Amino acid sequence: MTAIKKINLEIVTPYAILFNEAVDMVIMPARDGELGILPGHAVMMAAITSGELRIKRGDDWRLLAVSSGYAEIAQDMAIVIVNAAEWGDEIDVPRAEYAQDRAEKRMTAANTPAMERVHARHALERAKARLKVAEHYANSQKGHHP
Amino acid sequence: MAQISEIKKRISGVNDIKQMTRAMQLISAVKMRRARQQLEKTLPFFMLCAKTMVELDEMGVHIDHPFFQLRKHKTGDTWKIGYFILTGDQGLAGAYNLNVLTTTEKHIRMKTVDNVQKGMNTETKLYVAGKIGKERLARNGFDVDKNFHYAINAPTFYRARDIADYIYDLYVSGQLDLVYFIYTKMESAINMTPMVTRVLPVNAKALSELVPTGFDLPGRGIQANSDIEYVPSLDHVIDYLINTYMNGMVYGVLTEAYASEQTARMIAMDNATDNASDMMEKLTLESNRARQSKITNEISEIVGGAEVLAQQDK
Repeated sequence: MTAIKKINLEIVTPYAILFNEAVDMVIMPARDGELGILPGHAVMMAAITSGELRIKRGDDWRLLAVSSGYAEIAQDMAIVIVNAAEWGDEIDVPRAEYAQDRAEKRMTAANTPAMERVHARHALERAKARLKVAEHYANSQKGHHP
Repeated sequence: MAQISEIKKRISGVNDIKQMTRAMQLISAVKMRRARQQLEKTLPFFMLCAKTMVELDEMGVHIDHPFFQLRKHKTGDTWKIGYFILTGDQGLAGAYNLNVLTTTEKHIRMKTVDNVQKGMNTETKLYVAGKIGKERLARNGFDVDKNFHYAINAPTFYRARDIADYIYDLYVSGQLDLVYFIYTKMESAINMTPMVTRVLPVNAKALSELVPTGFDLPGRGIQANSDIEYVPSLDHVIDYLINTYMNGMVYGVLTEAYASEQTARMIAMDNATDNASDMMEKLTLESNRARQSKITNEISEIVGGAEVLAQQDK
């Protein structure tokens, strides 16, 4: 039996199939911390939270900001189904900052109902993830490793 | 002759209307094309969610999860049913709005009768998007939520997530036991049907029917029955899956309804334009006739007058 050398990674959002290629490794933001997937991984379903998803091909890394969703993983493939995803170079930083600001205000305001507070927290996590990826991307353009 | 100027006035009136209906038809056609593209793009996302749900159901792993279980009710209890209804902000779309409204009223009646037979009460709450449906259902005495304001035009995923959160909260807090969506589905380019779909609790059987025939995802997804590890736990994965599914479902339904509305309006306006053309043809004919008879009259008057003069000369 030949060893499995690549994973076919597919990233699906409501707006498009964003990515569908063979990769060497993918690191995804799972709910309880980062989850690194190499070829030959056990069959798994994972809860994905807002954060940074990193894709490795050869020596090349690509960064993607994702919001929550889930992933199905098998030996030679991984499907990531998320509510939204943006590449590092596509992130609208002022908008993310505005969203962060608004979510923080909503979370701290006294008259926000408990349930809305939860949604505000999610919005905050999404904004933070986007800002983090944008920053890492900017650093990587300056020659730093992500 | 007064008649001709009257017909002329009508012709120009009909012509104005025709230009308007033609413009509306073109606008709807553009909007419809955009909405359908959007719908096609979101299909893989939605279908993957639906497929995962169906697979989990087949594996029987989530039997106890509240999102998959009907709440238990006994005789004398009240079912709290929420309907999310998608209608248009505007009319001029043929029977589009009316079909959704009659379907709604029929379904509510059916549910109520059904529960009465089981000795249970029904409490319905309506969440309506679109001005036309909102006004009409409120007037017909239904309990329409006044705080539910969502535009129906140009759906975005952002708005869908908001609505999904709203529904999620109502369900989790026990304000609703059952959640239905009533919207219009495009069966084909010209055929639209009003649909009633239960969103919560998840109905895996109905979900598998939603997947269009011929839609296949070769090699995608985990095969059922394999030994699956859940990270961090099955409950968490289901929570995230439900959230993703709800967003996808709401977005899909919004897009579908929007595309249907635009298609309905395009067809209605196309018919209106045709009718206006027919009417103009008839009116033009009438005006020509009137002009002809006026000329004939004038000629006979002149001839008559000439004859009289000729006789006087004799």
